[in-house]
Amino acid sequence: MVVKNRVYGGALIQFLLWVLRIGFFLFAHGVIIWLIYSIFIFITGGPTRHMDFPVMFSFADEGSLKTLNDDSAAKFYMRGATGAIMSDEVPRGFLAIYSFIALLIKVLFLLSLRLTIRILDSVRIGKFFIVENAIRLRYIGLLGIVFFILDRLGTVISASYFSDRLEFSGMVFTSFNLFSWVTLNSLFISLFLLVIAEAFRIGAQLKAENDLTI
Amino acid sequence: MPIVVNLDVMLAKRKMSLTELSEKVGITISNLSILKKGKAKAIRFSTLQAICEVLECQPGDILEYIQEQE
Repeated sequence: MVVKNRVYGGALIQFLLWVLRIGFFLFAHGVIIWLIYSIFIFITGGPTRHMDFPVMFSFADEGSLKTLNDDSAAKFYMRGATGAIMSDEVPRGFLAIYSFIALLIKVLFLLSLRLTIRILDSVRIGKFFIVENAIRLRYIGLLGIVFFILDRLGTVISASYFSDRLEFSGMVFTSFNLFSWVTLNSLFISLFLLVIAEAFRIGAQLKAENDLTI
Repeated sequence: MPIVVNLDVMLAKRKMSLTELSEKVGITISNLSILKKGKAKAIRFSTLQAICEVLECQPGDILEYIQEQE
């Protein structure tokens, strides 16, 4: 007799699995195309069209502030911001370093996506509270931290390269800007995931013990 | 584990099958099988009470402590 695995979670889990699998498929193919394109540019030395490089800048200008009584002078300034520059001519060395970091970030994202799909797969067959899922969650958290570090490293490298080569009126380009660099949201989410993973591991152990209590 | 479950011995003494015990106690055969094979992590007092009632025995007849050899 063939015993089929019961499907838990129903439509929502199936839908999420569908979306994530399609997302994974599309993103993986995008990465492959991007990699081939990058290698082609690197070998031929052609222009890097449609390639964004992050830059850090601050902006300051004077203007007027309309209040209820009178217009008064005001100064607007941006303490730190991150933007992107599309440059066709970048040296090969810089392109290789930046592309390698960008590739690592994309691979980390794919790995996180794959782990999420595997977690949902286990939910589908009714095995949610298992130690394997706790380990997967922990890996996603750790990948998120590495992702954060690599992303910031790439930004600093790119900003350092472009800081003394860019000229736009009213704007000052910097190689490192603490205000735009320290956006810790993604890091906090990763740390939170690590806490959840630990709680999950303990929960899975308790469940395993409870399952073997007669 | 130093705690040994002698459920099979008691079943043999009472000439009772695991299926019969399962029906009388109200526990699934798979759970009783886990208990019999010594794979269980714990046993509830209510389960122990029910098994003892059906098999007319004491908890000590089912559970035995054997010291582990170093």
